[in-house]
Amino acid sequence: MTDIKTDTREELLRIEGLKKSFGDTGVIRDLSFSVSRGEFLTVLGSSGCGKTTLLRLICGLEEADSGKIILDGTDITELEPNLRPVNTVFQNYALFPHMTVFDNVAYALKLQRVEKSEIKSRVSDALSLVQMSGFEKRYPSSLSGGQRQRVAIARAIISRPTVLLLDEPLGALDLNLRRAMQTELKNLQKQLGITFIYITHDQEEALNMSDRVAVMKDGKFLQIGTPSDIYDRPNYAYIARFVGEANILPSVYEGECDGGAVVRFGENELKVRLGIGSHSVGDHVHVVLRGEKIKIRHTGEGSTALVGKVTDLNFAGGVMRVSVEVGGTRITAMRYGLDSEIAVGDTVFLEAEDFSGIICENDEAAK
Amino acid sequence: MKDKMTPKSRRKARPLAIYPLIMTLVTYLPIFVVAVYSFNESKLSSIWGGFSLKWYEELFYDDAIFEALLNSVFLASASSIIAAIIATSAALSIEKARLPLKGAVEKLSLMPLIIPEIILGMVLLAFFTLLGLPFGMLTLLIAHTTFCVPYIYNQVKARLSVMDKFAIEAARDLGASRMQAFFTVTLPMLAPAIVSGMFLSFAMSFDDVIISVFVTGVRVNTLPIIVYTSLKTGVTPKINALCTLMLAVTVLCYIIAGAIKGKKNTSAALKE
Amino acid sequence: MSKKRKISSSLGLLPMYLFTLVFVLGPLIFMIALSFFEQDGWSYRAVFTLDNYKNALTGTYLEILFSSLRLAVISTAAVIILGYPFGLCTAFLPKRMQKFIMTTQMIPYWVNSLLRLYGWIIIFRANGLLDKLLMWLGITEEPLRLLYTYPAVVVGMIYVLIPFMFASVYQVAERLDTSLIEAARDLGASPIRAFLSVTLPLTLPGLKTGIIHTFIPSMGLFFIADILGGNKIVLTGSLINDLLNKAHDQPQAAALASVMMVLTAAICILLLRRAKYER
Repeated sequence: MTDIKTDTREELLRIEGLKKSFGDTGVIRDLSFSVSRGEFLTVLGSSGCGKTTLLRLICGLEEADSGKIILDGTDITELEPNLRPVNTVFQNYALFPHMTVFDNVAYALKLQRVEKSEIKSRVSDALSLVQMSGFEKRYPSSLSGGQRQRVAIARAIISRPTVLLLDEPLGALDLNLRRAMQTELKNLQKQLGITFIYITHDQEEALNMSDRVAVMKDGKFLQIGTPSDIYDRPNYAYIARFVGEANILPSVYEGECDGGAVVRFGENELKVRLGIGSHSVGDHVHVVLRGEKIKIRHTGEGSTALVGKVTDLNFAGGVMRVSVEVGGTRITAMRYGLDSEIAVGDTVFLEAEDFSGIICENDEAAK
Repeated sequence: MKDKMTPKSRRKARPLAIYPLIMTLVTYLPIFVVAVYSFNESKLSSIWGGFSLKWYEELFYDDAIFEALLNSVFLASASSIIAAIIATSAALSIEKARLPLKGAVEKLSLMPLIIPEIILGMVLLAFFTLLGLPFGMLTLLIAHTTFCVPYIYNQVKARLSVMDKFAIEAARDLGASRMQAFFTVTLPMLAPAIVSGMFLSFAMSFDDVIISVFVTGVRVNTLPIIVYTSLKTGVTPKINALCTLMLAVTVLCYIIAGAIKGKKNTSAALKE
Repeated sequence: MSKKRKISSSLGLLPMYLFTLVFVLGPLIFMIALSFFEQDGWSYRAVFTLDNYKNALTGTYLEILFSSLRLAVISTAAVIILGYPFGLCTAFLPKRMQKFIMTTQMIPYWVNSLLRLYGWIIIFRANGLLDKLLMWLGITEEPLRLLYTYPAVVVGMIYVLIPFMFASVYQVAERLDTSLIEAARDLGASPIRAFLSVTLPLTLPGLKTGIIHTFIPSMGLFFIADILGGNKIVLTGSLINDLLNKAHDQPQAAALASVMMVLTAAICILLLRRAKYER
């Protein structure tokens, strides 16, 4: 995917035709994108999609087979990692076990031979920024996971890198801490104005924190865009399934209509939005319809109502998932609050507003 | 180390402790006997002639023993330092190195651990004769290095396998050159393993009789060789005094090391 | 760049690589070659012969080999019986006690092992400490003259070798998950049954390492037999020593050493075969 929406902000990092393989396996396959100054970009993908390799290529711990990495107008593709103004927060923190918190955070400054008094003040600034003041003399082994995480962040931002890379930094924390840290990281990024490239497999993190999200699969970006783009206008069925819950309706393309399209799903005609592909009449297409856009009624009226039988009710605190079978396809709709009107076995009518669904490409097209 | 004790099993631990304590006592029995007899006025160990420090005095003036002690200290230090350099650099590079049959050679380098010393001594003796090397400190040094290398190599390799390799990458990422990362992160993280390997090989070298007897020259004696010959030809209580002094020095070192460690621990605990 | 890294890695391995080839492989190959050479006065000729092996495997030399093997087996068995429970019991003690036992086991390491053996000489000597004690207790009436006997040698062997067994067993037992033993007891196993079905199999790797570290040296510790056994007990080790240093018969010594090495190697390989769950 090279379809990048140019930001109004200044371009900071540009990746051109990046390739990397280990042995015969292509891990990064011809990747191009750019990141603006001060942006928070999240690379979202399941494990093994190549996202960590991408990060290691940017910070210089892996060498690219081909392609270019241009940072601030300078080609850094061949540069050793220590010479790049890019720092990383590693997945398992990678704190130096033989150094105190102070020495860990001061490490980069000591290498730069910064004066002692300045080191002291900058370390204490960085530690207070991550709320770890007073822990200077402790060793990493005596810290909790969340505390180690904060130290790792302080260590990585101390020399004011142009880009901060974060490799699943919240992966090892428990859910509550993870939520709290999401907000904190977002605030930190705003405060520092540093460009963040954040890697995760957690869609909630991606949607919650980022300016833009890039969805990665098999060494390629399937789509890059704002969180609402990704959620509301997924290019591929894979993305729709990966980000949030989605119903995928196998349909037949019947033609354009009001800037959108008309498709036939079973007996019904649906008005949907067009995706990235172009289709001709009679093509089989996938339509993505989010569960929260579907309304469930006991009486059927209106042109787009689908008729089906309730097969399963699943109450998950505040949201009721209602599974309905419509002509062999299982569709899940959301209802808020407990609903005693619906029972398994009921015949119900499903209704969604026109153009709430979108045609997306099937996964083969992504290869 | 995890404490496996629960209140109930603590009560059971008492009878369990009897056997290890007896074994410990037996371990120290001969040492204790030697120590007591080092203060024996009489030259004969079957007679107690009263308390005396004269054997310590004689030991002090014995140039041969003193020279042998210096030789042993030099030999043990030099061979464990050389072995540490060889073994550490090998352990660090074995994975990426491209040398023919490196796996087989790695296994071979560990062989001295499982070859009976007598055989190692004999093959080295024959081989040094073949090469025409002059027997003395050089041959001792080579021989001791062969069995010191695997001790250190094993320790460093084990440490490497559990070490956080990302810490080294983090150092590079934070601006350290390859050399800087090695000296500020890799080496300090490996240090405990290297040091414990060196301690082990120092002790092995310092106590080695068999291999040394084979590969030493006429003029160079190590402490174990002197002790061995004097045990065969007739012992003077000087040897007892030597043993007692060695024990005293060791115990003292352990106490000092323990005190330093204890102090570190308590000061760390206070900060918590 | 990565090519450079590979070259520098190769350079890092090179010292050990060369050192091993020259000073481990070289001597071993030479020993094997030597064992087929012909002795010629005080030196040897590079003429192929099997005489050295014929000698090594017949008559007195074979008897000596068997008696060495016997001593090694007896010592190793004794070390197992005494050392295994030592390591095992220690692992189940409170942490403080464990530390105490570990430290006290390590201190003698730094005192010359020959000097420690000398203590046994004083104890075993005729009219020595043990005799005096036994006679004072009225158990014996005259000195037993234990020194320079087979049992004295065995005691010396056990004494020198037991720390290896202790350390190997302790290391494994210390990491043993005690809840497994409790589980076995909970499922109805008697203490003995629980030991046989859980503790023993799980500490077996330590026991095996211990046996290897006991058995291999025990084949070669001729100086213990020398000191505590006088000249009465001749072992292959002392034989090799005499052949080299007195008779200067290197080929014969090499043949004996080769036979001894094949023997120990065979026993080690047998022991090192791992149980399925250890893989």
